[in-house]
Amino acid sequence: MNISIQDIIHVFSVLFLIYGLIIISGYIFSAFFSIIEIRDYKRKNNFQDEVALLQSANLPSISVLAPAYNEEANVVENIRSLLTLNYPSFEIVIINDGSKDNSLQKMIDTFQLEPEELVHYHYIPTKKVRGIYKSKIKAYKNLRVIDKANGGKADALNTGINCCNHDLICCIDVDCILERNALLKLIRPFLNDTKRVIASGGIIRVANNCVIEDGRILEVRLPGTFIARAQILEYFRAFLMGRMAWSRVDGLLLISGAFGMFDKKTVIEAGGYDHSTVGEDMELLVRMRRIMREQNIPYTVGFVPDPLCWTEVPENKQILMRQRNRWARGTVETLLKHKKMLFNPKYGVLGLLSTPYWMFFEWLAPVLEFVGIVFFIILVLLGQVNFQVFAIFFLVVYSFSVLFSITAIYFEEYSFQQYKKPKYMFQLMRTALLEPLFYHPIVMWAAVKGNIDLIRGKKSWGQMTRTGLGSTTKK
Amino acid sequence: MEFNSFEGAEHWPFILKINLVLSLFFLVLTLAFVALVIYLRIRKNRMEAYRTRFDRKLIEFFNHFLFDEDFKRAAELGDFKFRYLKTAYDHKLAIKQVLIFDENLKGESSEAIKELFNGLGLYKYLLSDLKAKAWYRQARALYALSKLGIKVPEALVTPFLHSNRVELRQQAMLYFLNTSQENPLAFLDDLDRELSLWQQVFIENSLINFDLEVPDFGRWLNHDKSSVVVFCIKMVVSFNQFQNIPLLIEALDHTDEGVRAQAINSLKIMEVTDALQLMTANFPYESPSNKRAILYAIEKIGTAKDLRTLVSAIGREEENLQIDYYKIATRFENEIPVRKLINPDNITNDWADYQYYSKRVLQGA
Amino acid sequence: MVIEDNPMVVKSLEFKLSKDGYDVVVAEDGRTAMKLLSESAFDLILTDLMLPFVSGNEIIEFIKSECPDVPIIVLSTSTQEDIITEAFTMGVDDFITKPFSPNELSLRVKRSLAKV
Repeated sequence: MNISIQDIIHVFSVLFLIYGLIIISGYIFSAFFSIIEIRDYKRKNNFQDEVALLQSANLPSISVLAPAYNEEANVVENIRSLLTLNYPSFEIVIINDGSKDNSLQKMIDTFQLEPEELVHYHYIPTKKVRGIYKSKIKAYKNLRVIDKANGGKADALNTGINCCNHDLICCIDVDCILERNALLKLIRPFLNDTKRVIASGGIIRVANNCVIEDGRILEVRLPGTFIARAQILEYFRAFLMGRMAWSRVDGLLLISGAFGMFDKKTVIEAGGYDHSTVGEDMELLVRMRRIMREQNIPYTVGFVPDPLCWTEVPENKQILMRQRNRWARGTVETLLKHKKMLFNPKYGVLGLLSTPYWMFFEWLAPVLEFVGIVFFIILVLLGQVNFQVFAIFFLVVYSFSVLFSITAIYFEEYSFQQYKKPKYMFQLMRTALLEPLFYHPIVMWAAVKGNIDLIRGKKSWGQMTRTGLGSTTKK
Repeated sequence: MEFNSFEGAEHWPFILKINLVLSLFFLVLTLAFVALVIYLRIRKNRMEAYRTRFDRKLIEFFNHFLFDEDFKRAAELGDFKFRYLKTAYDHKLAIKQVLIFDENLKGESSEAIKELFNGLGLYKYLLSDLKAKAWYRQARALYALSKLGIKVPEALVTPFLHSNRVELRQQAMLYFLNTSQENPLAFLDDLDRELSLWQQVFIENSLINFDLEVPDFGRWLNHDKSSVVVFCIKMVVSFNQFQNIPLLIEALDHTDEGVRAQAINSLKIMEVTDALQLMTANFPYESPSNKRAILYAIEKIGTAKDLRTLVSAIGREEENLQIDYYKIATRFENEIPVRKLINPDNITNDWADYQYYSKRVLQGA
Repeated sequence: MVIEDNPMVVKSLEFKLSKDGYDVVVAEDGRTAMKLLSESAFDLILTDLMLPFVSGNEIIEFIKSECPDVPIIVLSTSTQEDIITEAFTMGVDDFITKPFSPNELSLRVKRSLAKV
């Protein structure tokens, strides 16, 4: 008995080491490529002011699509701030996804909307459109409101695609705060490349506790709660290190649902958003890439690292866990749906690097971690743990997590330095020390729970998605 | 392997040793990054403070130079250069200020700014940047030169037109655009890559601010890069070069879909009704998006009759085209019985009815 | 008074106008400008249209209500016709586009002051 447990421990240690090596190589990969990408981006943009030029030019028109479900409290304010975006030619399309509150009436009253003729294209099948509204007032001529039967976020966006006028669409969460030049910056990848650009995405920043006036960030502040600060670190890691690096090797798999621009034609060819998954944003991009690859059309996906979109992250543990639960299910659903791409050299970087990375880091990491902890607890119960050994294992994991976060802080400092006060930097470093102990277990458990829910066949787009539209924002 | 009997580290199993070493390694790296963050922060703050001070000095000096009649220009220039312009960073800041002044002031001041630029030895600095190895220094130098309209030996810039870095190609184009005395678009002749939209934007912008005569774009309407053709078709419209309309009509038969799309659009904007015949003739063979563009061209410059000739060419399954057709038809005459077409459930059936109906209208029944 | 947020333009205007013998007060954003305007009187106001915090039109409206007789000269990068006409209908006296010629500007300032 004793011997066999020893053997298990030994195997466990070796597995731990192998897994650790994979993680470390992932870390080195993202640090390396993202630092190159950030450096290049800085060099490209340090001498010229393109915004002024862009403003004056004939640029492609953009349709901004914003689904709204029960957003009565803020929808009017949010629309007002969207209308002040700095771009020569765009329309705002608000899709009222069968809200149960008074949002529609509120919009009609404030902006003096009147119904338009109910004609729209049928590129993608959707739930029934009840009405299309336009404002009587000239100042709001860029605004259109679509009223439709409830069908979830994906369905709302598809309806927007059917009803909008322009060839580029920018999908956003109605409650996020966009920088005034956000569209000008986000469209740059589309202008720059002679290949077909199918999408471009940006970095999401945490708006909690920032000074906001008229839908604009006046002063960037660090949130007061630990749980929000920990998410700032997470976002640094995910965007400044993760997505930057993926964009360098053109292997980006996810453009945030909160802020991304797409080529409408390609979206329609791919069939639009899939409403059977909770990870509709990730799934769409993966499907678009897959289709381009299968049809052998040269294409690219752009990424803009400037801070353009700010969003409120949950400061409540329950809401956070629900959000992470949803993300975990979205990831797994997407990977399963496109499992053909995994390790498939036919899909190039996507097949050999991106999808395996997502499998190991986004899907399996929390699960394996959880198994490891369960295993450890069993050992404790059996009295088989040498605490010296435990301390060393713990130390290596902990020091690695801290290193990871500190590197991400360094990247922020090197690139955009949004947190101006030195005090904030030190607070963030302190958060980096505490985060692995007090925050990480929460999100890990939420992800594991997401996996369990998925296996138990929980309807993925039931009540969950709807709360998602209302109270939480997707990364 | 004895797990439960550690006496000293030297007896530890291999795995534990590795872990320990790794932890220490991570710890050291972490500390290094913390130090790096602090260092960066301090350096950035220092540089920021230095820059503010230096900028103020530069602005003050420039103002005296430009507006103070009693200012001994030559002597003060030499003095300022000797006393303050030492590092590469100083030069960079000085160039930036010169650019800002140049951007905001015109008239008599423009000449004085050039004098300032040369007097401070910034020309030499830019030349050395241009000859540097790093692409971003070269690009920056080209940018400054083209902004200020300062010429350097052409042999230094021409190679950049074919550089592998898009930024350099772009800045080189800008340079030629802004400094050439005649034919600013000569570089298009031997362009061997497609023009990106962004390049088109800044070329157009430079042309708008161009003092000399804008070239005749007919010259490149047969260029073998389709993006160049697309760009030139757009420019024909922007600069009202009506003499090129026959070439635009020819472009309706171009092999590239994008070129045809741009031709349709431009002819629509220029209201060339003569082009409608060819457009409607091409309609059945066009791509879906170009079919749509043709419909909207008819909306602007055609008649209800032109529109009706296309009914038979729109297939039952082309639902979205039918919707466009419907939108346009209602704008011509309201009594067209297409109102029922808007119901998505039976749109295709209704379309068949409508095709039959319009055939009879066309025959005069 | 000069209302302008570009430090280079501010400094140049301050220098040039002081040379011409005027007392120059600078406000670098809309809020400061409004505060200064309500505290003291000015002979002429030179303003940009793109300012932090307050839009150009709001500034003009504010000046018109606070001190309707003070001449306003707008200094803006905008060359769009509708923006220029809108400014004139709101009652500004002159519109100068950037890039501007400093000598011309000083002449225009002189002329506007002479009119009062």
